[in-house]
Amino acid sequence: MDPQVSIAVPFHDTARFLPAALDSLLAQDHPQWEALLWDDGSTDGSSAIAADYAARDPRFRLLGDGRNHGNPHALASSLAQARGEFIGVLDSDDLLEPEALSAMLGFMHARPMLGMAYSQYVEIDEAGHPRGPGTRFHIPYSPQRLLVDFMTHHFRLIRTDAYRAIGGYDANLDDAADYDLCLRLSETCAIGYLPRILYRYRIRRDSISHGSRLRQVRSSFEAAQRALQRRGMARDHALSLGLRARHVLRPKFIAKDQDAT
Amino acid sequence: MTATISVLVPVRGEAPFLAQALDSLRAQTHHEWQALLLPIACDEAPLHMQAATDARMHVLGGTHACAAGALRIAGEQLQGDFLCVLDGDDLLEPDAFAALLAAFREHPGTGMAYSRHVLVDAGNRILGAGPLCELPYSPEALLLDFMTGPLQLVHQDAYTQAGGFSASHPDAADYDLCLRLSEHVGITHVPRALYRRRVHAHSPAVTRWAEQIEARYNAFADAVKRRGLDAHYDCALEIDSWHVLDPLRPFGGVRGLA
Repeated sequence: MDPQVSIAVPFHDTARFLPAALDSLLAQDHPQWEALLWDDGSTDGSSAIAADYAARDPRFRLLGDGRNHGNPHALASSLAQARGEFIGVLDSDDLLEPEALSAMLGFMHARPMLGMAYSQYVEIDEAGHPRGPGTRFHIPYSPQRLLVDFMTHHFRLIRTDAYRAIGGYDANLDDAADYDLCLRLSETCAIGYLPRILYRYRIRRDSISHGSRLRQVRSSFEAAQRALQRRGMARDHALSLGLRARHVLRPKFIAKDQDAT
Repeated sequence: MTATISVLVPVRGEAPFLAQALDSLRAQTHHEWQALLLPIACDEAPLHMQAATDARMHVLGGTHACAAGALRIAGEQLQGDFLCVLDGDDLLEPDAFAALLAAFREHPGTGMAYSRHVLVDAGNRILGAGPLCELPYSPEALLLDFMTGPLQLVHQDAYTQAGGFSASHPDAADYDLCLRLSEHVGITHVPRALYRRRVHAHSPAVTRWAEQIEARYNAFADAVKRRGLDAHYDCALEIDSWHVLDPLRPFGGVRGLA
């Protein structure tokens, strides 16, 4: 059975969360998918987990040279091998809802003019418990609004032709590769919004350091500036970056003896 | 005897604003100062030419990779009663030194005095009040907001007592010093804008904002440990960011002009 959708799952030391991510693929009610499991130089046993899934189900394809090149490189390289008519990305610590693929495919088949569609998502904590619905998708999409707000968050399904036509992920970016890709897609094709929760986005306490969070802010702004140039808007418009960084002192949590009553 | 102020002047790149900075120094109503120009990753020769015009100006030989390192070295050689940093891009108001010195006389126990400031562009147009400098100072409030900059006059004894400029947080050397000073000496605020900080495309606030935020946070976290607050508090850095898209406005940017 040829895959209709290719889902890139780059992973780097996410052994704690990878089984849940891959199980959420196995639980899809649409069977025609392939998962591009790209090992981005893991050292925590993630590689063995991925190999185990690949041995059990041929829809999991094991890719990567075992070295750490960074997420954008892993996305670009794995999606270059995609065989499906559509592509998507599942972060290795996140999960898809069981109807994610069928719902997005139905939505896009009914709208052949769309190059990409995106859905709603919920945020979950490290244990997988829901923290609440995401907020980005509340902002209405337009190619112009995308310059200031990244609302086309998870889950995205992209027509492979549209993806390849813009050259795909930029492997040279260090951060903000998703935002950069969406900006470029929004300049060449129509983007649709399916208001259904199809993705569980994990918020991790150890997610990223302050340095990488700040680099991400800078990279996102640079991606928007490049888009402004590409669109010929820089003659009449200026983009600026607003920033507020706050030092916070949080009282430490002191465990109290539980009242036995 | 009149107090002598050692003025450290970090100079970066082409130094297009240095002549104006030094003019604002020469225009001080308080004349007893010595200036030490610090070349930061730039050509020394123009600095020597500037220094040759005034016997009170000297150049710290050898170019330095970062301002923090140069400030530390310069701080070890100081001979004045007070220390002050004037960035080679910025300007002092004519009575800046006089007003800050008056604060030391009026408030015994002061180890450092600081003023408000305004932001100016390359053409010396005032862009607005400096952020944070109107917030009330206390040693605790300084942990959260850097309100004591960029113009500080530090007594030499206080500088030594606090350990001087350190190279541990190169992108936040001034904040780090103020935090340590606030743990040792009294700090007095002069509620007047005595300093003009220049904002331009090559200023560190523009080119190294991310490094500055991270360095300030690390200096804050160090201060929390030094003060023993880490027994009861966890440190965190909250970052909000947003993009703003504006139409370019001809005719000087006056809103409402057709």
